[in-house]
Amino acid sequence: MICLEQFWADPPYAWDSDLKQARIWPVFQALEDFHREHCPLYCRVSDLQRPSGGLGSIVDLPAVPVQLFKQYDLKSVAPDQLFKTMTSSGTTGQAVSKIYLDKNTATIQAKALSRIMAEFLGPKRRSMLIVDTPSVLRDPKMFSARGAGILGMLNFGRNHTYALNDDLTADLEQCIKFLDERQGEPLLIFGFTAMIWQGLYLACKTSGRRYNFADAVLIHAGGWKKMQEYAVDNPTFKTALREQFGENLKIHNFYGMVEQTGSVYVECEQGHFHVSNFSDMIIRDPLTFQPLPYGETGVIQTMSVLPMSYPGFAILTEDLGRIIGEDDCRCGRKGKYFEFCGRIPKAEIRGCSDVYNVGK
Amino acid sequence: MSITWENDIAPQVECVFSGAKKTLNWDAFIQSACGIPFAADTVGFCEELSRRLLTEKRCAAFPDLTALGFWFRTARLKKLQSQFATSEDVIAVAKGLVFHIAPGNVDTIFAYSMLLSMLAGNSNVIRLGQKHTPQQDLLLELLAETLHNYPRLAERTLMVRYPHDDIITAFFSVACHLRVIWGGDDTINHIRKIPIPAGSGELTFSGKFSFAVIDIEQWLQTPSAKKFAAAFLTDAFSFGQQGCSSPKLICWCGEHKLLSAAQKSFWSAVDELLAQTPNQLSASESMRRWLAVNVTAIESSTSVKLIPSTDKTSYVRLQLEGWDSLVREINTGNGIFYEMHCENLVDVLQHCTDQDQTVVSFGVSTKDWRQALLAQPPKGLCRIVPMGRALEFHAVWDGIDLLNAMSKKIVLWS
Repeated sequence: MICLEQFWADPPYAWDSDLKQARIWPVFQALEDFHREHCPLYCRVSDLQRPSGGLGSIVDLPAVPVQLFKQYDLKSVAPDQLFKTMTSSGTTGQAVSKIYLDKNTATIQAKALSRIMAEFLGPKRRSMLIVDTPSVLRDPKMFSARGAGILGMLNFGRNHTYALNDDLTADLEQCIKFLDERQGEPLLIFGFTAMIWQGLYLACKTSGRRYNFADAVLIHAGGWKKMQEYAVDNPTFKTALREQFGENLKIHNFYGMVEQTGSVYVECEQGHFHVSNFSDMIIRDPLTFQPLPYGETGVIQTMSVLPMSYPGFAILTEDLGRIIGEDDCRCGRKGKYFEFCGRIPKAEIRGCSDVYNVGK
Repeated sequence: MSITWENDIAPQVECVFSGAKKTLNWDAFIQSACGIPFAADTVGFCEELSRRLLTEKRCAAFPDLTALGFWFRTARLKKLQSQFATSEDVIAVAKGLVFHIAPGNVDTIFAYSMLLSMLAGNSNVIRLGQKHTPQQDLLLELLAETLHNYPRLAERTLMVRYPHDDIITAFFSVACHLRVIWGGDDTINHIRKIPIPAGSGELTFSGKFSFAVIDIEQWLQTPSAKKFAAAFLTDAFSFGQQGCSSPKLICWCGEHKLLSAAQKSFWSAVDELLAQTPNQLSASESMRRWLAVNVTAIESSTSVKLIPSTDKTSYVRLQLEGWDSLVREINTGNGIFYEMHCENLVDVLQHCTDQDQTVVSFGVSTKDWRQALLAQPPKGLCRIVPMGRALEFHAVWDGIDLLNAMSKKIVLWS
C-alpha cells in the first residue's frame, strides 16, 4: 500500500514548495502505477496521455477529464472491497459522477478533511448549525455530494441543528432558538452558499434578527453561479453576513468536488483558496493543455494523494482558476494559493447537428 | 374541436415570412398549392436571389451565402432544367404543399431545400431553426426583399419559427403532400410519429458520417500538396467539422511501407497552412474534443495513438490500427481526425455502413472508383467528391434526386 505517513505527521499547510514536491512526486508515481494495474479503463487513458519519453515530472501525469467519472465506472478496487459509492449532485436528467470508495480511501479522505478543517475551526468541537434540511441525510435520493459534504462536516460540530425545512425555506423557529441560546458559545455554521444566503441570511434579516457572535465560523461550499442570480459576489456576501451575525464572524468558502473528497481547498483570511499538503494544482491552457505560469487563468487540474480505490488522483476539471502564488500568502500558510474563476463558458454547438446533437 | 390557423397556430408561431397581403388565409394557402416545374417567374426569382447574394457586400463575409448564390446562378438553373426534361408522355407537375423542417444549426440548408422545391413548383412551409445567426438573418432579409418582386411565389411561401411543439408540427404535417426533415436521428424519429396524410411522402436527411480516402502513392507524387491540404482543411473545418459531409476519418489507401512518409508530407502541409490561419476553438470546444479523445482511448477496440498538431491546438490525430465503429459515434468535431490504413478501395467499401455519406477522394480515378463500387457495392455512401468539395451542395443529396422527389409525374397515354 502507498504510504502517507509523512502526510499525517505534519500540519496540512506546513510544507514549502521544495519539500512538498519531494514528498508528493513519489506518491503520485506510485498512484499512477497502482491505478494502471488495477483499473483497465484508466490504463487506456494513461497509455494515451503518457508522454513517449515517460513521466518526467508531475505535469506529465495523465489527468482524467472529470466527465469520464460520469460516463464510466472507474474503480481500482475489487467488488468485495467496495465500501460505498458517492455520486455528484447533478440536476435531474444529468449524468452524475460515481466514485467508488473502499474503507481505506473513505477513512483517509475523512482524516484529511478533519486535518484541514481543524486549521480553520480549532481543535474543539463547536455547536453546529447546518443550513440544510435534515432529510438530506435521510432520503437516499437526496444523498449525494450535498449529503456527503454535510456528513463529512458533522464530526466537527456538536448539538447539530438543521436550519431549513424540506422545501429549503428557513425553519425560523429552530434557527432563532439555536442562535439565541448559543450566542456565547463557539459556533460552526455550515451549508451551501446559496442556501445560507436564501435560507438563513435573508430569513434572519427579514425577521429583524441580528447577532454579534464572539467566536463563530461559517464554512460554505458551492459555487457562485446561483449567487450571480441574486447579484451577490464574495465580498458582498461577507459584508452582509457580518452585518447580520457580527463583525467577528469568520467566513471560509471552500472548493472541492465529490471526485476528490477530503483534500478540499479552503479560503483563508486573505480570501485565497489554499492547496494543502494532500493536494496539488496545475493550471492548464484550455486549448493546448500546457501548464500555465502562475497568474494566468486556465483550466484547473486538481491532484490529491488520497484516492486509492478509484483513479482520481489527477483530475482535469471544467473550472477555471489561476494560481496567485506559493508559500507566501499573508495568512502564513505554505503551499500554492489560488483564485477560482468559475466554470468554462459553454459554447454553442455548430454544424449540422440539431439541438439533440446527434449526427447531421 | 378542430385546430385552426387563426386561433391555435398563428398566435404560437413566429412568422418569419409570409407573402400574404394582410393576414394569411390558411385554406387559400393550401388551395394554391400547385404549380409546374421551372415556371418562368420561379426561375427569375432564383436568378435574382442568386444575383443579390453574389453582389450584396454584406454577404462577402459569409462563404455559405456566396456558395448559395453561386449554386443558383443562371447556368446551374439551365442545367437543372435540362436534366429534369421529361418525355412527351410524362408530364411533371408540383407535388403540392411541401413542409420543410430545417436543421437547428446550419443556416443555409433550408434555402437549398426550399428553392429546389419552389423550382419543382410547390408551395412551401419552412420551419426554421430556433437560433438566429447573422448570416441567416441576412439571408432571410434578402429572400424577403426578392420575394417581394414575385408576389405570386411569395403568396405560396411561409417561413416560421416555433419551439418544439407537436401540435404545430402536426398542423403543417396533415396538410402537406411531402414532408422534408433535415436533422439528427432523434429529431427524425420524433417527427415521424406525427402523421402525414397516407398518400403523402417524406424525405429524411439524417445524421451522416463522412471520410477521406487518400491514395498513398499519389499523395507522395503530387506537386501540389499545399493546394490539396488547403482543400482538405476547407472540407474539414467549415462548420467546425460537424457537418454531415465534414471528413472525420482519413483512410490511407495503398502500400503500408509508404504510409508514414505520406502522412508526414500531408500533415506538414496542413501544419504550414494552419501556422497562418489556425483552427480557432473556444475553451469549451477544446474540452469537448479532449474528452472525445479520452473516450476514444477507452472505447476503441484497437490501440490508439495520439498525435497533437504542431500548434497543439488546431487538431488532434488519433491513429487506429483498424476499422472501429467508434469513429462514427464520436461526433464532437472541432478538429479530431481518425487515421487508418487500408489495402485498397474494396477494403474501404466493404466497411461502409448505412450512416456513411461522403468520401472526399484524393488520387483515385473515377475509373477505379467505378470498378471498386461495382465489385463491392457499399452500404450507405452517396457521394464521392474531389478534395475540397465535400460541402458543396448537389441536387442529388443523400442519394435522393431532390427535384424528382419533390415533383409528381403524370403519365399521358396517347
